[in-house]
Amino acid sequence: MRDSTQRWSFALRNLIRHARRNLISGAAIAFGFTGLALMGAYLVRTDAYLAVVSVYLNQAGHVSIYKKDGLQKYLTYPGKYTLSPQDQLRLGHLLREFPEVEFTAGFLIGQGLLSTGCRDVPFLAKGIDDKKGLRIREHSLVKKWTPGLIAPPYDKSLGIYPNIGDGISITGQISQMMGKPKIWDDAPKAVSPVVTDCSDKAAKAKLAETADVQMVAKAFNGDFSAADAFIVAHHSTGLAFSEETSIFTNLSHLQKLFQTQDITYLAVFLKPDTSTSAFLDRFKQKLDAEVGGYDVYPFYNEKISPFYAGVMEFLTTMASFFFVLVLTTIIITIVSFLTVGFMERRREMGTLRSIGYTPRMIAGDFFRESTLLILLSTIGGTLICSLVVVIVNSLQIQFSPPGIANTMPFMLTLTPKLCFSVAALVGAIGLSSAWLKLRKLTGEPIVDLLRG
Amino acid sequence: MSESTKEITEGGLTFPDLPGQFGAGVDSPDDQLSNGVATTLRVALGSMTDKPLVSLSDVRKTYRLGETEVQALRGVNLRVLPGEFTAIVGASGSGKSTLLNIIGCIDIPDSGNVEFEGRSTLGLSEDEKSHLRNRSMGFVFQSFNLVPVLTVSENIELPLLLQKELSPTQRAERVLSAMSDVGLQDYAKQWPDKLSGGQRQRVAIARALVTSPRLVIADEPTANLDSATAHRIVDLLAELNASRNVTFLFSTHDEKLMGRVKRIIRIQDGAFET
Amino acid sequence: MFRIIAMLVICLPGQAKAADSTPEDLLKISDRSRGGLASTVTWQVEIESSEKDTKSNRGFEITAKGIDALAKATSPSRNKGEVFLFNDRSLWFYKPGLRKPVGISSRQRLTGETSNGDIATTNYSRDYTPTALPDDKVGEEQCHVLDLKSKNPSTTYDRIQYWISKKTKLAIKAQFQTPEGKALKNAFFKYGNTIQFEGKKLPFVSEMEIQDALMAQNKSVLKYQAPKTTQAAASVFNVNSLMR
Repeated sequence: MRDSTQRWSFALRNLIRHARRNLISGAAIAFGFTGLALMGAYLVRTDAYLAVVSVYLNQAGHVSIYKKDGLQKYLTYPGKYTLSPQDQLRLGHLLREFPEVEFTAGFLIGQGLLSTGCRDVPFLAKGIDDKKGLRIREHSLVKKWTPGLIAPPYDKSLGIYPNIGDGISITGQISQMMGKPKIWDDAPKAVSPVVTDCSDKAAKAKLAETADVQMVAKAFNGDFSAADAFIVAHHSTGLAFSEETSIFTNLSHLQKLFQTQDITYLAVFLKPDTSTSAFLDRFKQKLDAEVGGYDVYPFYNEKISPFYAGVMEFLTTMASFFFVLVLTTIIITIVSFLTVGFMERRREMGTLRSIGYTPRMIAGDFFRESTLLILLSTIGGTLICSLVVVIVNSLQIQFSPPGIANTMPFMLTLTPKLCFSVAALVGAIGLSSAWLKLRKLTGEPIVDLLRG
Repeated sequence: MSESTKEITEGGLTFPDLPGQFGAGVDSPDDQLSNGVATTLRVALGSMTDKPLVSLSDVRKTYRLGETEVQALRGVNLRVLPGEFTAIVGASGSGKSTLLNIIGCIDIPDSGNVEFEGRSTLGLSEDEKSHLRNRSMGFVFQSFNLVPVLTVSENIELPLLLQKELSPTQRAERVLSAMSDVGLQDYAKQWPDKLSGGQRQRVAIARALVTSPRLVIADEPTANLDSATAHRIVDLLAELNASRNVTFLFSTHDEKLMGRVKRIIRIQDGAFET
Repeated sequence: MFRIIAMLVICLPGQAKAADSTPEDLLKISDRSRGGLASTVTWQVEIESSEKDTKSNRGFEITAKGIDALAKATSPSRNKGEVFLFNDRSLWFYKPGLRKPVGISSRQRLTGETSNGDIATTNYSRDYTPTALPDDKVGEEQCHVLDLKSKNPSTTYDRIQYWISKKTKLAIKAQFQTPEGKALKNAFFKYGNTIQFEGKKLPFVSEMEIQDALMAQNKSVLKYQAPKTTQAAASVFNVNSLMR
């Protein structure tokens, strides 16, 4: 059989033979590849950003464990659908058997009113252990994907004020709504006086000077409850819908307000690059076998992270549509490239057939040309893509996608895995269509081929 | 060992039934040599046999051009012996190319039988025909049909690339030998588009001969050449026929080239002339 | 003759009106029996709440004067020390450990079906604009029916339909409503207590049963005990004194 190097050399020479025309075909494939890869880069970036926001900044963890039916009912019947200290112990024991667990954290969620004395704002509070909260904020993935959400003015957190037992972190929006712009570091360490007449402007102005607020809620036992708090930090949830109500408190502080030792859910944080779905399957099996009565959800469940699930579903649908369009263009380009090339070289094909070459061998020659064209095009596409990504990322464009709090940088993440996957897809689709077309073309009788 | 070689060693020598055997209007090669000399030559040459190399029996072929049917061959019979240097002469559209295509297993007759070295080619699969063409036949075309992205030596080497038993060194030797046969040994690295018409046709001839075929089929090999070059090409073919004992079958409509030809078959409207 | 008849026709309805009190008067009278007196009054109130299969109990000691009231939690023991202060139209909550009292709303739920404002004195005559509705019966009792619309946003309810007994001039039923008139809760009153006020023995509320309008089985029963007049300094109703 012909030497492999000679075959590929033949293919490359034929490609160069009509350099201008093949360059256009190659450019079409290259730009198609670029489009697909950039779309993929946007998806990778968005997925990573929203996943980190869900898992870490909104503390869903990779997996969250609730009491059975607790997710739906914990706000309505908090005492009944929360995890008691015994539940927490039992679950902690079970989770120790899974080495892919990086750490766990218990969260208590409760709602109430945040009061300055003249203004009340509803809150949905999450109580977390200070050290765990700090660990979450300082996680490498948070620094990598959402640095803006832990940068000033969000660079402070509860964990750096361990001595302030009743410190809370509020969003910038709540701060505005309440007329409480200052945090602990910037404000006098004093409590504002009781204001009996809220129409008194001077008295109201004094409220804005300090960082103290009060929390009012219904305890789990039904009692009316209240607690003092100091605003020590501002945070952003990353999502617009939760910016108006989200506050973070120390877990024991919130437990005191709601007069409970329970937590609402246990969040499990997995080590980077661990498959959440694989862990979930194994853990659920073990949990159901050994200890029943709990519900377990991955972070991408729409009940846990509706925004993440909704956005990714939308983007994936749009991307799929776009992918189909681009792949169709690539198929048409390849088929056109082959058809034109074959038409031009009919007599050559007839000659090769006459000296003993089989239709399969001739198809193989054209197939190699298609392979080289696709390979060179994807390499070119990768270079174009990389350049675009570098330029876009360096521009630091800020934009406000729907549902996102504040703005976020428009960035693209191009990974080798992504490039390879897109190249493999383009290659598979392109070469499949090439082979199908070639089977038809090379089956012609030699006499007809020799006629030209 | 090729099938043709087997037949030669196993079969005995037989004399062809010369008168009328080749059909009316065909000059027998034994008209030019005495029987005894012919026999001696055949025995002396050893590889020649009285068995025909090619045999056609009542071959017919019709083409449909739109609504019109054209009978390209109308029941032709033909025997070509090994070593012949035969021209098929006829006007354009007389059926020359169709005849050569059928002999070369490039086309299939509608009816009749075609045999090469005593074996029917009609029952062969496409791969078997490809193999037969590669091993036993060579083709020379009117338009040279060289591959423009390959050098002279690479063009000549093309048929040898299918013969996996040959090493690269053996292939190179054969290519060099073929180039020498046609006088192009200094043009190995040249590109076809840099050559004259005559040189290109020499390359095509070298390509046809490089596999040491039993039969070379040339369809109007001189049609695109000036008369001087055309004569030189025919002379070359004749020399190669004499020196290498390869059977040559070529078609032409140029009567002026008949001087070196041993046998002429005239064809008109799909039938041999009487 | 005709003139006499005409005068009778003109005067009689007026005389009938003069005999019946105005809606404002009715409110003032009914307020007194629910704690809205000019002098300082104290009483105990026990709240029994039941919701589905959950029951709870809370106890308070109320000190009230006019429109101000101070409610101290007496039971269960975990709530001891908690205080609700109704001062003018503001409501404050305080418990030991808080750095200062926290302003709250009278509309917030205290326990069961009871809102914060339900345990204080009733000052409907100050806080609501009454309109007379057609008379109605509650059981066998003939009642004036008033439609009360809130004068300010700090009231416990936006709108109340109030049944005041024609015979006793005491409110025996109230329906707490949304501004559009949709029922939220129903309340029924009993007046088994009495209180000495300005030399007279006045009936005083002994029980108020508040039911959820949609699910009547969810209810709170407020039982009032030992109402009496007493003396108290004005500072008792000062928010700043809660921290002492």
